[in-house]
Amino acid sequence: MHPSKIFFSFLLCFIGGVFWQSFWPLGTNGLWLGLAILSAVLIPNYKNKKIIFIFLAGMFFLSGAVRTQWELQKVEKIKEPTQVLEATVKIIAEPDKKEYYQNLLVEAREDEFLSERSEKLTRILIRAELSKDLQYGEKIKINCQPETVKNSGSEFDYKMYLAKDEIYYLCKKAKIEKTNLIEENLYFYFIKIRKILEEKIDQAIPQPEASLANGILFGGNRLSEEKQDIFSKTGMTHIVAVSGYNVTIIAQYLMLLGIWLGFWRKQAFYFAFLGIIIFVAMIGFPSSAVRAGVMGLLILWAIKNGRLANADNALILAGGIMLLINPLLLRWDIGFQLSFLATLGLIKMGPFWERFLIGKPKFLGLVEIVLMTVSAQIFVLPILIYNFKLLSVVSLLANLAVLPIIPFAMLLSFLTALGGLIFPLLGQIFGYSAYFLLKYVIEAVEWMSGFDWAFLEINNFSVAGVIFWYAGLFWLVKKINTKKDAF
Amino acid sequence: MRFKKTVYLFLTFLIFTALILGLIILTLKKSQQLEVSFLNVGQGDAILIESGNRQVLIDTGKNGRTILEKLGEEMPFWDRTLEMVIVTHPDFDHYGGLSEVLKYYQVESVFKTEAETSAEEWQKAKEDIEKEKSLVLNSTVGSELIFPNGAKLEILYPFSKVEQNPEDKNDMSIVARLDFGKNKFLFTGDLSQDGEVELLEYGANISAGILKIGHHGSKSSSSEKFLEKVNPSEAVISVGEKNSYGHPHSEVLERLERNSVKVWRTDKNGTVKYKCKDPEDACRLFVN
Repeated sequence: MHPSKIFFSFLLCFIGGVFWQSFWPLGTNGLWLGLAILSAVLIPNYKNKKIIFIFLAGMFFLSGAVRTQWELQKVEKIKEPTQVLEATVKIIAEPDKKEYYQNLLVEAREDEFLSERSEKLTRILIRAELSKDLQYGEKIKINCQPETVKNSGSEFDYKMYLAKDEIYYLCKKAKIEKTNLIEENLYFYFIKIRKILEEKIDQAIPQPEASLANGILFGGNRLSEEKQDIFSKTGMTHIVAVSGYNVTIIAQYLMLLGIWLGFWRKQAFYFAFLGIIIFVAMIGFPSSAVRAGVMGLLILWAIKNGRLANADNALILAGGIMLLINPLLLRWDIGFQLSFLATLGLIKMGPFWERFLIGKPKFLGLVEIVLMTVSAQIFVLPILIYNFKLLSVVSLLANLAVLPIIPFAMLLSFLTALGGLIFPLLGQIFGYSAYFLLKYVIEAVEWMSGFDWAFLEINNFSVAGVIFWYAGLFWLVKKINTKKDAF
Repeated sequence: MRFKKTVYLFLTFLIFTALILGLIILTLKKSQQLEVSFLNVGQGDAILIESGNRQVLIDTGKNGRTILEKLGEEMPFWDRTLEMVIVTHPDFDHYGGLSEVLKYYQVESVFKTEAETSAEEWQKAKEDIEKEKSLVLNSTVGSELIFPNGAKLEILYPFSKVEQNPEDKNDMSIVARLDFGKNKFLFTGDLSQDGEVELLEYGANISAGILKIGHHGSKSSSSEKFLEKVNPSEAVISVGEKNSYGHPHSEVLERLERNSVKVWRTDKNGTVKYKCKDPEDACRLFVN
C-alpha cells in the first residue's frame, strides 16, 4: 500500500473514532477494553504487517474516541454557579445581533461565580438589549446570575450546540455598564475595517439589499426574520452565510487581482490564500468562516491543479485536523457537516460532470452551475431535512436564477464599500448598480418562496433515512467513478 | 474595432441616462399622487405617507431591521430623506425602530408628544434625535402639514400638555387626520376609549373613510360611539401574527362587522397600501 494511502486510512479511522464516541459513547472502561483487545491481537503477531496495520488503525480509532471523550467529560463536569457574577469582563466575540436582542460572549474568572478557587477563564453567553452599543474587545461591568445551559425541548440540543464552542454558562438577564475600556489588538482592527466597509454599503444601498450585500460579502444574519425565511424556503441561505461558496468566489477575484498586479499564477494563488486569511480575520474568526476558508481554498487549489478527483485526501486531512482541534463539531455542528459534505459532493461528482460536459453545449456556464448545485445538494439534503424538517423543492430553480448574478453582485458591493471610503459619490454610483442586481436576487427569491410547491415540510425523516441515503450515495459515487468512459 | 467600442460605450451611456431621467420623470408624475402604506412591521405601528419624493412616517414599529427593509421597499432607491417622522407616543412598538431610521435616513423633523417614559431605549432614541439635529416639534392640536399636491395632515389630539400623568402614554397618543379631497384617513396611535371620549366631547372632526384602528385592535379602544362618529367604510389593524397580547380582540372585530366596516390586517394582508391619484376619486387599495 502506498504510504499516503495508509496515512489516509488511519485518518479515516480517527474520524471514525470521533463519530463512534459522539453517537455511542464508550465509557472509560470500554476504551481500556478496546486497548486491551488490540494489544492482545498485536502481541502474539507483532511481525505480521497486516496485524500491525489493523493495530494502528484501531489505535487511531481509539484516539479519536479518547479525544472526543475528553471533550465530553468537560461538559459532564460542569458545576452549577453558586453566586451572582459581579465583575468587569471582556467581550471576546463580536456581539451577535438578533432582531430584538444581542448575544454577548464574555470571559469571566471561575472563582467569580463558582464556589471554587480557580482563576481559569470561562465563557459565558449573555443576552443583552439591542440598544447597547458594544463591540469586540470591549470591557463591560456586568451583574448577573449565571446558570448552566439546559435544554428546554427534546427537539434541539441547545446544550451541546453551545458546548461545542466551550460555552457552558448563560446569563439571560444582566445589568450591563460600559467602562469605555477597549482592548485593541490586531484582530480588533480587522473587525473594525470590516465594520467600516459594511457601514459604507449600508449608506449607499437601501435595505434589504444592503443587508444582502453585506451577507454575501461577509456572512452573518443581518436580514429580518421575514427575509431570512424566504431564503431558507428557497434553499438559498448558503449565499448569505459565510460558506465555501463565497470564499471560492472571493479567492477567484483575488487571483484575478493578483495576476493583474503582475504576479505569476502560482504566486497569485498565495496572494489569494493570504487574502482569505485576512478575510476570515475580518469576520472575527468564527469557526464557520475558518471552515469556509479551508473548504473554499481546498476546492480552488484542487481545480487549479486539475486534481479535483484526488482532493478527497486533502478534504479528509482538513476535516481530521478540525476534529482533532474540536471533535464535538462532527455531531453538534450542522455547519461543519454541511460544508464537509457539500465539498465532498463537489469533489466526488465534479470530475464525473466534467467528463460529461466535454463537447456538450455549456449555455454560458449555466449547465455547470446546475450540475455543481445538484452535486452539493444531494450530499447535504438528508442533513438539511433531518435538522430543519424542510425540503426546498424550488431550490434548484432558485440557485439557477440567482447564482450567476452573485459574483457580480459581490464585486459591485465591494466596490461600493471601497468607493464609499474614497469618495461618497463614487460609492453611490457603484451602489446603484449593485442595487439592481441585489434587488433582482431578493425579488426572485421572494417570488419563488411564494409558490405553493416551493417547499415541503417533512417531519418524519429518521436517522435510518439519513443512513440509507448516504449508503445509496456511496454506491452511486463508486459506480460513476469506476465507469470512466461512460460518455 | 476601436470605433465600435466607442459606439457601444456611448449607447450604454445614453440608455443609462435615459433610464435615470425616466425614473425622475416617473417620480415627479407620482408626486401628484398620494400613497398611504400601513407597513407590515409585525406587532407595532408604522405608516408611510408618501407624495412624490416627500415622505412622512408615522411610528417606526419596534424593530430597526424590519422598518429599514420596509422603507427600502417603498421609497425610491435614491431617496434617503424623510421629511418628517411622527412618534405618536413613547411605546416601544411605536418608536423601537427610530434609532436605526435616524442612522440611515436624513430625518428633517421629528414630531412627538411630551409623554415620557424612563425606558432606556427611549432615552437612547431621544439622544439619537438630538444627534440627528432634526427639527423637534412638540405636538399641538391644530397643527397642519400640507403636501404640495394639497393633501393635508391635521393634528387632532392630545389636547393637554402633560398635566396629568406623563406615564399614561397611550392617551398621549397623537391622533391625526389626513385629507386628500374626498379621501380621509384617521390615524389613532394607541388611543384608548378615554381618549376617544375626550375627542368626541371636544367635537373634533374625526369622520374618515379609512380608520387605523387604535392600539392594534385592543378591546380598550374603538368604542361603539367612536366608530359611529368616525363612520369608516374601511379599517386597518396593524398587528403581528400570533402576538402575545391576543390583538386584535374579537369584540373589536365584531364591533367593526356590526358597523359593516371592511377590515384589513397587516398580519394577514401584509403591507396595506392605498394609492390616491385624484382627490375626487376614491383611493385604490393594494394588498396581498
